[in-house]
Amino acid sequence: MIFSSIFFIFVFLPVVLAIYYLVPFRYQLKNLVLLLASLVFYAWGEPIYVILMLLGIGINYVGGVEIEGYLQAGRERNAKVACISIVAVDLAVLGFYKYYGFVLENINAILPIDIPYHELALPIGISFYTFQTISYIIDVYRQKVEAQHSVITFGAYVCMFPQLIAGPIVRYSDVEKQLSKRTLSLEKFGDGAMWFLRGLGKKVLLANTMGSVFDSIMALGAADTSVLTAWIGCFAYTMQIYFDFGGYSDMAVGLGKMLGFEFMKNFDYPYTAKSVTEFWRRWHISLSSWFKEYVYIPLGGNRGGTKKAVRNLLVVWALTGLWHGAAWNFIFWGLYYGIILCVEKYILKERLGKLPIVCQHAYTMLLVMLGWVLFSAPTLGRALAYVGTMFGIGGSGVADATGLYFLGTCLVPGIISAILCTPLIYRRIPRITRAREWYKQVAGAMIYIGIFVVSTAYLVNATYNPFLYFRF
Amino acid sequence: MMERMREKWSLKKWGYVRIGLVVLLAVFILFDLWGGRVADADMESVVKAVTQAAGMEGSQPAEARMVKRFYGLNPGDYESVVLYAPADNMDVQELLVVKLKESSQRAEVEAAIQGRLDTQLKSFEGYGAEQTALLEAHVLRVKGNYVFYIVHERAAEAGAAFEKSFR
Repeated sequence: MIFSSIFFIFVFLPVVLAIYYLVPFRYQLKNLVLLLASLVFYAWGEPIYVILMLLGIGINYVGGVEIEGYLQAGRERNAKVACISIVAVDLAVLGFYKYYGFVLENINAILPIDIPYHELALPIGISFYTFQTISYIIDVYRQKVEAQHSVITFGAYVCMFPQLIAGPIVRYSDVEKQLSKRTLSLEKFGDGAMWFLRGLGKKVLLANTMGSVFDSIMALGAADTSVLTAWIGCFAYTMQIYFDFGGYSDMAVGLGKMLGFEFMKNFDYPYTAKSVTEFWRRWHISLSSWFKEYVYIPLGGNRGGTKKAVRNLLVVWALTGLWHGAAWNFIFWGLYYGIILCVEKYILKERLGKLPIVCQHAYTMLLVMLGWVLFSAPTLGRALAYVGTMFGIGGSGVADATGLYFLGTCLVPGIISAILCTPLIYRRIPRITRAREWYKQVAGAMIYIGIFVVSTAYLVNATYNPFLYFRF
Repeated sequence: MMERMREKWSLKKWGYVRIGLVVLLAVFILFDLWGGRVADADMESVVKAVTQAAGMEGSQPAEARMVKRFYGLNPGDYESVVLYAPADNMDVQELLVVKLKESSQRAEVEAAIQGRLDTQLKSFEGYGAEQTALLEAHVLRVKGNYVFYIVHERAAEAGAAFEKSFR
C-alpha cells in the first residue's frame, strides 16, 4: 500500500485514525493499534515478508533485553558478542535479500563457472527497518538508550506504517520517550494533516508530472535524443526524485504528527545548497546521519589524518551507494559523491565559498544532476551514454523538434517545480494558516483543500503513480 | 548467590529464545529460496497457461521489434519477452510477459507498461468507451522475475492463470 493511493487516503487511514483515537488513552493500547495497523499496511503488498519482519522484530527485541541484562550484570564481553551477532544477523538478512543475485551474477561473470540462481523479490522497506533495528541494538549496547521491554511497543517502533517502507530512518533514541508518552492534540493533528497534504501534492502533482516527462524521454532511442532533450530529461528526473521522495517523507512526517509523533525532517531544501557537502546535509538527512553515526565515526571519522579520513569517506559513500541498490551504477554513484566531498573538503576548501553565489548554485546543481543520471540509469554504460548525449556526443544534434516539444510541455511544471524546491512559498504559508484574521485562515484552509481535491482527482484518473524509493 | 544464578539463567533463557528465532529465520529464508517457484516456472508454460485462460491459443506472438515500438523496451535486455499485439488500430487487446534477467529491471518494465497504458488510454479517451473499459480493467502482476500485463476481456482469468502457473 502506498500513501498516494485512493484506498489509503479514503479507507485505511480514516479507519486506523478512528480506532487509534477511540481506544482508551493508554499508550500500550495505542501502540498495539499502531502495530496491528502497520502489519496490515505491510501485508497488503508483502503478505509473506511480514513473517520475515516479525522474526526480525523478535530477534532484535530479545537481543536488546539480553544486551541490557549482560551490561547490568557487568558482563561486557557477552554484551559485545550479543551486539555483534545480532547486527550480523540483521546485515546478513538485508545482504541476502538485496545482494544475493548481484553477488552471484558478478561471480559468474568473473569466474569460469555458472552458479544457478534466481532473483528473490526484495522485501519492501527492508533497508529502512533493518537500519532502524541496527541503530537500536548499537544504542542499547552503548547504553545510550534503555532496552524496550514491551514487545508491542518495540514492534510498533520498527514497523510503524508512516515510516516503514520509505523512511525517514527513525532512530530509537529519537522516539524512545514518544513511544511511552506523546501529545495528541487537535493542533498537532491539523499540522500533521497539512504536512501530509503538502507531501501528497508534491508526489502526485509534481513528481508524477515530471516523471512522465522523464519516462517519455527515456523511451526515445539515443539517436532521437538531442542535447536539449537530454537536459530536459535530466532536469525532469532531478525534480521527480526530489518531489517523489521528499513528498513521501513529508507525508510520513505528517502521518507521524497525526499519531502524536515527531519525526526528524528528511529534506531541507536540498536544491538550494551552495556545495555538494551542503546538499548532503539537506538530502535524505536520516540516512546521512545514520551512516555518520554508525559507520563514519566508528571507523575513526576525520581523526587520524587526511588519508584515513578520505578512506573513511569513500567507504561510507560506497556503502551509501550500495544501500540504494545492488548494481554497479549505485556503487559508482556513491563513490562519485565520496570523491566530490573529498575534493570539496581537502582541495577546494573555502575557495568555493568565495565564488559568486550564482556560480556556487550552478556548480552544485550541475554535479547533482549528473549524479542523478548515474542513479537513474539501469546500467553504468547507459548512464555514460546519456551523459555523452547531454554534452553532444552520440545524440541527434543540439536541439530538434522533439526537444522543443518537451521544452513546451515541461516549461510550466518545470518552473513551478523549481520554485517549490525553494522555501520561497512554504515560508509564506504559515503566515496565512496561523494568522489571526479569519479570512487568512479560510484562505489557508482553501489552499490545502485545493491540493487535496486536485491530487485526488489526479489519483482517480491517473494510472501513472510510481514510487521511486520503493525499490530501496 | 541464588540471585546471581537466577539472573544468569534468565539471560541464558533470552539467549536460547534468540537462537531459536534465528533458526526460524534461517528456515524461512531457506524455504523462500528453496521454494523456487519462480525459478522453476519456464516462460513457455507461463505463456501457455495465460493464453489458454484468455482463449488466445490461436493467436501468434508479435515480432520483437513490436516490443520496442509499443513499450520502448529492448527485448535483448531481458531473459525472455513474449508479446501478443493488438490485431488492428481499433483493438486494444494485448498480452505482455517479460522474464527479467535481474530484479532491478522490474521498475523500468513497469514504467514502460504504465507509459503504454497511458498512451492507449489517451488514444481512446472520449470515443472508444469499450476500449477504455478494457484498458481500465487491465491486469498488471509481478511475480519474482516475471512481469505480466494483459488488456483483454478475460484479463482477470488470465491473471489468475498467471498466478497459478507458479504453484
